[in-house]
Amino acid sequence: MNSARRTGDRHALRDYALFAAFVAPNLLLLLLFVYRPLVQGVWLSFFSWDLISPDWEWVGLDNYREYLTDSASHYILRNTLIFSVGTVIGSMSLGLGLALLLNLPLRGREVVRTILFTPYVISGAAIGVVWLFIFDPRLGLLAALLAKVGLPSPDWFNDPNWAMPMVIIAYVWKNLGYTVVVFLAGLQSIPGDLYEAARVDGAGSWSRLRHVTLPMLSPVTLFLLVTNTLSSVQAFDMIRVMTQGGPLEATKTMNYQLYEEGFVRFHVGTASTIATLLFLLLLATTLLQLRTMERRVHYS
Amino acid sequence: MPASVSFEHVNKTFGDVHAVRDLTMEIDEGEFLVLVGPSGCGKTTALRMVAGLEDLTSGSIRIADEVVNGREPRDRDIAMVFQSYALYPHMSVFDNLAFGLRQRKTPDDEIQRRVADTAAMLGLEDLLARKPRQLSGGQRQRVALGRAIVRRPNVFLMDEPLSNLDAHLRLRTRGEIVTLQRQLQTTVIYVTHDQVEAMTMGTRIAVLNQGVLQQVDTPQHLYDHPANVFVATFIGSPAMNLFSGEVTAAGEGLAFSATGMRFPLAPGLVPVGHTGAVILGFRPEHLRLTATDDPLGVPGEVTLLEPLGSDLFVSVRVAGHEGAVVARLAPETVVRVGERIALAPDLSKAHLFAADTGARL
Ligand SMILES: Nc1ncnc2c1ncn2[C@@H]1O[C@H](COP(=O)(O)OP(=O)(O)OP(=O)(O)O)[C@@H](O)[C@H]1O
Ligand SMILES: [Mg+2]
Repeated sequence: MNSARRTGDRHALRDYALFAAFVAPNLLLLLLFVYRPLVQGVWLSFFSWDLISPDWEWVGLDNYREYLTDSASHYILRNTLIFSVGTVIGSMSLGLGLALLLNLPLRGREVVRTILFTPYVISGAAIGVVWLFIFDPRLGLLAALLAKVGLPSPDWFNDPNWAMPMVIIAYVWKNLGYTVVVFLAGLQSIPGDLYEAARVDGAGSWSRLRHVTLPMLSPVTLFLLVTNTLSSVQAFDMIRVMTQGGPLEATKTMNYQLYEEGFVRFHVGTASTIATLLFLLLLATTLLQLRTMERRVHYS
Repeated sequence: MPASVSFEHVNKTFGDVHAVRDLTMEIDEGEFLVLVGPSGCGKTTALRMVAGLEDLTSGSIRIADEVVNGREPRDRDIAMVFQSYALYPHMSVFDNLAFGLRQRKTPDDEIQRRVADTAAMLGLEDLLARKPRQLSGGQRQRVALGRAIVRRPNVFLMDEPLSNLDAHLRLRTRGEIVTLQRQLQTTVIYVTHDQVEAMTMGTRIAVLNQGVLQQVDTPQHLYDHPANVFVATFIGSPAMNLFSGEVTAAGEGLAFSATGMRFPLAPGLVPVGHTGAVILGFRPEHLRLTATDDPLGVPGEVTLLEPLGSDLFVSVRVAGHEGAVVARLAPETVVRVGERIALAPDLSKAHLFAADTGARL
């Protein structure tokens, strides 16, 4: 009995050593390149520093106080929320719709799938440039299409009310492929006989979508909700190319502001403060999403 | 109300595969019809066409005398038990049972009552709150059965519903399904490839081979008068012993002769004037041990003994004959592997088939 336990312990020890041997290198890299900068960033947020001078001035929580009481940052926080909610809802609903269509046995769906996925692997800057041409109020494709139905083109770049919808549309278009492909994989893993059973049970196509497809997709949906939220809050390149956060800061998000504070105005302390707040915000959002959704998610 | 089902010249092709060929068959109200045949013979396809899950290539299917071609499954008043059970994994047992009723806008109190009745009938009362993944294979099978029963359909379709159960549970559930059917008086079409299930459950059996209906009959008639060599060997275990040979004139009557065998044939067994190549068949229970010098005996060497307790199956290698000849003998019979014995057939129980077509003569 006693010796058996000792051999058990020895086994556990050997397993643990093996585990450590495999995991340690990765863990080390993560510590070095992810967690160290993270901690450093938080540390920097307590200082005032211009990125060059050798003096770091300790300011305690001043950066936070200043940021959180500034009305400009409230506007930027609002922008961040609108952009994220808009892009997440846009990509998820369009993505699900397209995935449902592409899951039908239609001809040419492989081609459509490839076309949809391509923007996702092209650089955001390049796509931003393309959309500049599309949205151009005088020469753009969109203006020409709107003219066909007798509508004037909004002044996308100079009107603060239209600039945000513009970047949301462009961003959703670029990232739709990812959502579609993940939803499609989810759809294809639903056993076909469930649909047959539902048909025999009397369920029409709407009812099958509601009672079979959507519940069976719930793990994939939760996954997409979290990953899409995380990536949209961190959107940068398309905003940089299309609007530079303008007009009148109408498309400036926290991530974009972080870049400006840190690398244009060299307010490293403020930039680190924004980074820390953004990190906390994302952490809270993700936890909330996991907590509230998890109960409704069905994992088979 | 149980409904009749009829197939009229039904064909189904998938590309080059002719899954069901010119199937014509009547299934009466309240009948338990078993569709049996080897793998790939078109059983599932035939069943799915009744369910409306598969379109017909040609012909028509009637349920309760109405042609249902092109009708959605839900408008056919059928229920189906899938081989995989196809339970909704995200719903509780209760919701699985209630789903079909809810789709049909059944009032809530009636749903409660019917689900409770069905659960009681199948012993599922304590499992109603569970999800399918929290059930054993046998319990899942019951839920699948319950989902069909709860709707009181006119026709039950079952596609190998027992094939995922272990032997013991299969035996028990087999009996329960039959009892349930007698109780509910519903028409059942039951697909299986297991001929024991077919024999024990069906009021009639339809044997399919390569998409072609071979014979539909009561189990006993099918066993006693198989329409052709395929049915003769498919139904019955161990299979019927077949001997290829010739019918020849022998004095007044006719005789069967093959290498090392010569039997007089009872008058009436062969149509008058038929001579030439035939296949003669005897079921294992119609062979008995005889003296090795019996002129009516088939001599051979024992290769295998299978004592079942109630019976003893003896496999014998006979010269000039492919495969083993199997006899069912009394369990106390004393024979050894390697021993030379002779088996005498009961000539009144002989089955005779044409050698070219395999059809019964
Ligand atoms: N959707 C399909 N597409 C192409 N061929 C099919 C399809 N469904 C069935 N078949 C073919 O039709 C034939 C009959 O198939 P079916 O499933 O009816 O056989 P079965 O008798 O149920 O066999 P098993 O006992 O193995 O379930 C087979 O040759 C099969 O390959
Ligand atoms: Mg089958």
